[in-house]
Amino acid sequence: MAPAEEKYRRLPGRRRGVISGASLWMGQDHILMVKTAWFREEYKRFYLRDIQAIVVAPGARFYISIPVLVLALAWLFSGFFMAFWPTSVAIGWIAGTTAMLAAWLGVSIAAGCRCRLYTAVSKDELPSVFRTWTARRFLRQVQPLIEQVQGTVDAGWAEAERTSAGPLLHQGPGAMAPMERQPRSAAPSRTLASDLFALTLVVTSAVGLATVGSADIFWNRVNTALTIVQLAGAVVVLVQYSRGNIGKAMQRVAVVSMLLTGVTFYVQTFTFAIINGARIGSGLGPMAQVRPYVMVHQVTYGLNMLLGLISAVITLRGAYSDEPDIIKD
Amino acid sequence: MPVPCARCDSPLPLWELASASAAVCTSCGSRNTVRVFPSLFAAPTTPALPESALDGEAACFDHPSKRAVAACHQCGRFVCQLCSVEFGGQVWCPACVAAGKGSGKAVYLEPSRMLFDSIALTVPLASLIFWPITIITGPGTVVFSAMTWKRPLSLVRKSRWRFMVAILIGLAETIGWLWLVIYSWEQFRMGAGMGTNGSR
Repeated sequence: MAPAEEKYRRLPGRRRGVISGASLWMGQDHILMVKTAWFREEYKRFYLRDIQAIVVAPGARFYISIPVLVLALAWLFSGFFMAFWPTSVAIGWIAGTTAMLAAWLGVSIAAGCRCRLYTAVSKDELPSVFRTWTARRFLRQVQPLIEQVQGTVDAGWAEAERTSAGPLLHQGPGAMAPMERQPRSAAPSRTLASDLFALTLVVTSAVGLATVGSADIFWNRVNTALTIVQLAGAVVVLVQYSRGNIGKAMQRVAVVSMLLTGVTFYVQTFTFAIINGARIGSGLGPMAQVRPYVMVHQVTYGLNMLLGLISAVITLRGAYSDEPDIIKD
Repeated sequence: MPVPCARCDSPLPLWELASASAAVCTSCGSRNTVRVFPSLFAAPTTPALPESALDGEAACFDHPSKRAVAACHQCGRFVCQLCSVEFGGQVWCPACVAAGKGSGKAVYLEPSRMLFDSIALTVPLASLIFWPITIITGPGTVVFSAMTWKRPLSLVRKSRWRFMVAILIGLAETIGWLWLVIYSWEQFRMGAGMGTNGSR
């Protein structure tokens, strides 16, 4: 008989909502899923011998835990006193708020995931595993324990299934884990669209850095047009990635460039509005160019240039190292 | 034995599982990370049928024509293959399982628990939002904590610090109210005394 009070070890992943929560715990021979609602805990046990598969799929997950919510409310509350702050502090607060919001959105979209655990008679989502890094840590801890109980599946099990030969099971430890199998030939690291996107990044940042101090409306329009082209390029790269036509490296560059453009847009808008608002309020006229505004643009163009160089490296590596495919042969 | 996509629950194609480190779902396009284990390939088990009892053989309590394979760990009744229920490494008869005998010990079967320590901690803290009700919740928390102190805690949290903090807060609120009452009474008495002296 199992001990009356079994000791549990916490597994990676925890979700703490306002009235509900979830966590995973490792028992002697089972994984315990704990779901909390108000003042009640509900338990579900997954015995290691019964677990058939664990599948993780990426997907946007928008969650705010209680600690983050409290911090966010405290931060936003401090904004009520903005009227008494010097301009630089106010700008910093707005920039910080925008950056935090962008970071949360970015993490929720790019690092969200859904993890499911399958047994012969159930398929349960693990609500506490909703970030990809948590899923990786969870799998790293749980997989060896399940394999200790069940043994391992041969790397080519799916191929064996396809050929109806049946999978080769290894009961002892030390067999090759399913995820250690050879990855399939990766998606190409470059396409024509990604090449153009990389070129746009470099051109946008070069033109922007050269004309950042200029108040000429012509250059303003050129920079805006180039930014729009760059965004369109990033969108095309993301579409190609979702179709499996391009590798992850370029997709990451596209995501970062989009985030950077979004953050810059909001920061410059707020900066401009606050500084000119303060100037008009104190009897001075509005300024066409303000120093923090120029600085934000310089930083953005600098980062864009860096992204352009990174994407150029990815492109060049892809050009010289892509394996020839059947069509080329 | 299909492995479903974690996002849309559609079966992942075998060629994806065979060839990819991340299996792309053909239905929703998600790139699933898949770990499979040998129990996926285990043939579904069919319930064992009880064998007929021969003359002189021990028979099942509920099915006298069937051979007994074990005795119930709780009540000692003989059970056939069909009636034997594996329960935490022991064999129980269906009647004992239904009656919930030993449920106090069978922690591993509990589907839920009430968190009395969390209630005890939340009540005195939440009542501070509308502080006059702390006159009830303060002493109430102390009494509630004492009454539920020995009730089982969460399966995974073993410490009773919530109870301790709740009792401290409850006591503080109670002492605060007592002080307020005594102070007010003293003030009232002094005021009444001064009023009496003044009238003289």
